Amino acid sequence: MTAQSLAGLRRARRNIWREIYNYRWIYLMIIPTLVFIFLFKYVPMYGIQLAFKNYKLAGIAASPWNDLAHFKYMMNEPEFLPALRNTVVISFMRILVGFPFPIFLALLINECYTPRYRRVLQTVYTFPHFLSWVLLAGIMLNLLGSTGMVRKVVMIINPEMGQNWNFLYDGNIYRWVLVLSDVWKEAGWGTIIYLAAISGIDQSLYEAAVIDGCNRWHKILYITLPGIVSMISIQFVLRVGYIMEGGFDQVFNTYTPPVYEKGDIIDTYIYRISFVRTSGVDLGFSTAVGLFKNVINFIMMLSGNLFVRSLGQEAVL
Amino acid sequence: MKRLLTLGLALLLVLSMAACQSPSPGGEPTAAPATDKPATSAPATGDATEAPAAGPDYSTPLTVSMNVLNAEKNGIDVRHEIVKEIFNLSFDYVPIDWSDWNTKISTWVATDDAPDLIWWDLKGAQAQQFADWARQGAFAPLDAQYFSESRPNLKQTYDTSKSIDALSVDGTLYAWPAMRANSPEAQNCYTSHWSYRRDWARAVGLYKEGDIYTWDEWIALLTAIRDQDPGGNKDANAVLVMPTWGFPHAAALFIGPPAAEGNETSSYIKDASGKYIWPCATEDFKKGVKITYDMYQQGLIYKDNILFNASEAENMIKSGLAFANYNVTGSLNAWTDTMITDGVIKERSDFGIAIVQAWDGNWYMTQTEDYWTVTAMSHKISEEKINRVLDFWEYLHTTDGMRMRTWGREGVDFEVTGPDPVDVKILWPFDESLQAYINPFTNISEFGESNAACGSKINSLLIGPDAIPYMFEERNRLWSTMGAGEIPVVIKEFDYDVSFGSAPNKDKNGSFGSTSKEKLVALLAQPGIDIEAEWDKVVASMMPEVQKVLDELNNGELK
Repeated sequence: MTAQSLAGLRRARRNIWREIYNYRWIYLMIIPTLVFIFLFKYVPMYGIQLAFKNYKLAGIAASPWNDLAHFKYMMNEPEFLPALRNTVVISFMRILVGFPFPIFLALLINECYTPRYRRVLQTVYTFPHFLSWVLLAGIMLNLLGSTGMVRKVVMIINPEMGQNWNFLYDGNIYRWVLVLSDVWKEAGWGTIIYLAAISGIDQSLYEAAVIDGCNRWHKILYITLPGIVSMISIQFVLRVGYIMEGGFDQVFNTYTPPVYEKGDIIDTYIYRISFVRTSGVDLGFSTAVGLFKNVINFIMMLSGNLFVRSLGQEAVL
Repeated sequence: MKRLLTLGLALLLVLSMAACQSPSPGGEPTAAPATDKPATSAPATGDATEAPAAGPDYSTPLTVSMNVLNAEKNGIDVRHEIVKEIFNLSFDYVPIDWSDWNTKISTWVATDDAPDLIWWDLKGAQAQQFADWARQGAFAPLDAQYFSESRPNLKQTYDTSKSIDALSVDGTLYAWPAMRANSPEAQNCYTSHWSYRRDWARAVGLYKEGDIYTWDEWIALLTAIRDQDPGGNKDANAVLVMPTWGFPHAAALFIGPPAAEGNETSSYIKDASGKYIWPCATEDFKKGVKITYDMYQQGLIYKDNILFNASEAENMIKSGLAFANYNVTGSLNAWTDTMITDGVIKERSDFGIAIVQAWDGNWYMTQTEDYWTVTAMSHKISEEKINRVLDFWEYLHTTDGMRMRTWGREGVDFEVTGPDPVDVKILWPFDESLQAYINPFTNISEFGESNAACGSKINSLLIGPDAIPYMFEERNRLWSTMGAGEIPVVIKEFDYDVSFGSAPNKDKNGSFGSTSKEKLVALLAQPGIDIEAEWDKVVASMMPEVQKVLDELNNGELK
């Protein structure tokens, strides 16, 4: 590094500190957030050591180290790897369907020119986000169960299919039920950030495009989409960082033994072996699985970031 | 303005963190686990009729935290005022429900955040967890000195209950059992039965006077209900529904000859040679699986019972959508009240108990522990609280205590007419249409969680001269049928040694009950399979792990 560039670096640092000082009261507002993150995100990391210990009630520090026993047990458990596979598969399905859908929906909403109608649509699409999965699971079971409305409709169209109705007991169908119900619940909420990004696009571009003879489709393709592509990239990287989250609330409230093979995810598997089966709660094992999940998530997020950067887009990290 | 806003936000964060800190239970300072201090009071002698005499020092008000079901119904009526007056004792109830009970207890204990009194539906399957926690100091030891002559009723239980040994770890008791309120004939069994719509059975012409059905009669009745739909429910017509704990075993496995298997019972049985075997691997069990599968496929078991996870079975019965539910004697009065009010049935006797003989002609019972729940005390509870609580439990067994718990305050809710606990005149308003007194208490079973061996005395109280007798008449009919020898009764005996014994593989895997249940339910949902062959595969896949436990049991490695 040359002396000139070092001097430049020092100057830039001084500028940063000067800027922080100049705006100190604004920066002070960040303290609660920093305290929050430190207390609730970093301090609990002290507990990560439980993944390598046999937890005793005497406390984390007093619990003995166990020579990676939890990880060995995890890998030898016959149900762990299927749960891992299901988690990844369901997550990928969610990305495949659930990730582009809010973008698509945001584009559609943006094309509605009547502001009031657009607001109504946004409210209607966003509302399911605020319902809990406990409630939605009840609705799903009532709709899709053997006496549900969907089956009755199917009975009218195809009695044989209605007779052998097992929408919630067939693992392959169940995965799609998970994905589609999740899309239905969250797509509206997901549009908010894209609509915000769309609203930031310079309107003169659209006016110029009209003068140049662009139709609506061209405007979407050549102005709107490129205008939000950086937001899409960021969202994609963040979403890939949750690859190991299969959606505990949703799965837990809707799954049954017939769909364990295809629907059991890591979180529900942990819940079941901790609280349903007899071995009892094992904080060490749960921590080990949590650590495993988060390491994978972290690696996936970095990979997603690299992928986005390789496409020439602005990356998150 | 910005400065004020910033300081305000920072202050808000600090305050919310301070608010999140949990206070010590009840607000009192905590003390070291009870060790060697003797009980301080003698509230009752024998089956005393008086509240504790002067002597114990109750001048310090105490609040004891405890987890209970229906917490919102607890602690809100005059009975708590009476307990406060006598014992200067209040309760801080922590809510649980059936679905999260075990989860919450596991979490509380593992994080050292348990209430003072940890009320637990402890089964043998969780015994190793209990013992492990006890050894680690999670619970206050309940030494023998607490159960001296000064607390005669508790002492009687301490001296006679089989569960005292089971709940002791390395010779020290760590939880107190709430004894079952069954008559001796019941022999601590789940009296296998279905609560069913008699009016529907009459409507299809297959009702049997006396309510005792052979297996063939029962299946014929279920089939007729399915085909004739006497309730007019069309597609929603459900025949058998079961609570989640009983599904799908109740249909044939619980009430048939297969050794009991599931969440509720010990899961290893002895064969004729005295060797332990796994019930799921027996021919009897496979036959039960086949019958269950056939019943499910034929629509005799409600298809969506698989999806139930709370009180759906109860709701289906109450709303007139289902014909029969498994084992609900304890709720017969309440359910029939609702059903009459909602016009589902005309009179109580339209919904009653059916006894079903299995396909070999026997009526099978599953025996269980002699308690139905236990209460452990947190290691943080003070000696003063332990003694106060034990005094209160002892009082609940006295005549005064039983009357208070059942009817409320003497002179206001009832008048005493004689020495026997049931010698009372109830002063509650009387409902002519129901021919019953209107119970002013939202929670009928107040203090039920800590009733600690009130036993059949409470039963006799509840069937006193003026209470609603229906539920007890039905239950007593079950018990008397058991005792009378009218039909052959076979008891699937409870094995304390296996249930509460410890060995490495057994501790790790328990009974395999929930796993085998999951696999059975998964098979039910697959139409057109050879269920016996599939069950053989399930057994074969699980047997290597099961065999390790069987080896421990048969090689005397169980401690």
